Amino acid sequence: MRSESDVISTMDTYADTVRRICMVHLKNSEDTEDIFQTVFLKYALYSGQFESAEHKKAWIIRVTINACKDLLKSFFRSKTVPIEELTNQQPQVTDHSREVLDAVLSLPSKYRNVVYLHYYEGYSAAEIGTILGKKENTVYTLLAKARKLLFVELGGIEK
Amino acid sequence: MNEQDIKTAFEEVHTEQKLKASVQSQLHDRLYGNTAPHCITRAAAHSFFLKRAALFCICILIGTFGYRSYTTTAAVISLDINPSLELKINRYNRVIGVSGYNSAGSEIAGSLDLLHQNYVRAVELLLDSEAIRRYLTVDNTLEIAVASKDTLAADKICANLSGQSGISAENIHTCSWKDASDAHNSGMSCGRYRVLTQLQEENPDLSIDDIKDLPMAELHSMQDACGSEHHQTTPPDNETESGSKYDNSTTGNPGKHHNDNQGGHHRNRH
Repeated sequence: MRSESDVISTMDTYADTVRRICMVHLKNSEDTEDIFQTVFLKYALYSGQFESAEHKKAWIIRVTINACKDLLKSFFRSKTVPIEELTNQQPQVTDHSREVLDAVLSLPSKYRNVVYLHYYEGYSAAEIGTILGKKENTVYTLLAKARKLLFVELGGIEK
Repeated sequence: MNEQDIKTAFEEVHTEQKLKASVQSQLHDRLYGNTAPHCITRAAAHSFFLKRAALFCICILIGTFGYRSYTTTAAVISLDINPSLELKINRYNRVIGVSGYNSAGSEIAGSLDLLHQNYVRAVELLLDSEAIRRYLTVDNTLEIAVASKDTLAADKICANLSGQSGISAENIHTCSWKDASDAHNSGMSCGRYRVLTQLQEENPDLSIDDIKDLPMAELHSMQDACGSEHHQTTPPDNETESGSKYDNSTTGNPGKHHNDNQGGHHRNRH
């Protein structure tokens, strides 16, 4: 088991990453807190060695996405969210960023991960394929369709 | 909009300090704390409770279904020599009840522990028991009748039993589930009821009440007598010697063919 200081340090480094992925998938703070617990509990108990910071980051991202998927599939998860809970969940961002985030979050779930990983984390299609367990060409297709949908919502994405 | 807008929008999302502090505290309690109780989130507690409740309900349902499934009679195997008894079989081929239909049958049913045995093993134990063997003589053969709602299952039981030593395929019959039910309502095993109804078919004037208490050997003699009588009424090349113990010519019976219309066989005395 990893030391508490290692876990706290890792949480300080990657908490925002986990939070953003939770925002992409989940809609209430209780679920987000559960995911945080799951991810960093797994990290604390994970005995493998990371080759680099990038490797560690990719591991955290993969574990977070899988935990979110598991939670969404869970039969026992509450399907309803109180309105006040929803407003509390929204991160404090500018109006323009809010508009962009709303457009991204309105995409079907299969596109949200690739948009986040490609446009924010800067991963290539091949790297996203490795993280999500999908073929590179599938990732390209998902990105192209996501771009089209965002074009409709926001007027296109310029390089 | 450009890619930078997406990056900037995500950039502005940060983890609330309260969330980090809460998770760190919970991890500390769970993994590194010595005395603090385990602290889990409300959602996790709720989920945990629901999971336990659902698991409990599923266990109850499985238990109830399993119990009902195990204790429901799927077939009956009637064994008649003169002792008359019946084994109730569930869908898993286990004996779930043994009933004696006369005093000797009840005595044997009470003396052997056949419950929860596979029916083939149970019949083996019965045939090996001294209580049954003393009844098996040249004149008293074992007659088995099988009744099930599923005729295929009944046929399978017959096939499995006919492979056992001491049981002749000619002495194994099937009868319908309705006949079994009628037999039980009349207070007799379905095998005995089958013989009685056959005798009644041969001789409609016979009342089942008149003959239901006769020993099986005597019922068999009556069947043989009916068979002989029948042969007398068939064309001359089939004529056989008469003089049977049971003469049904007085009843005006035309001597129709002895027919097991439940898929059984002619009884063949050994």
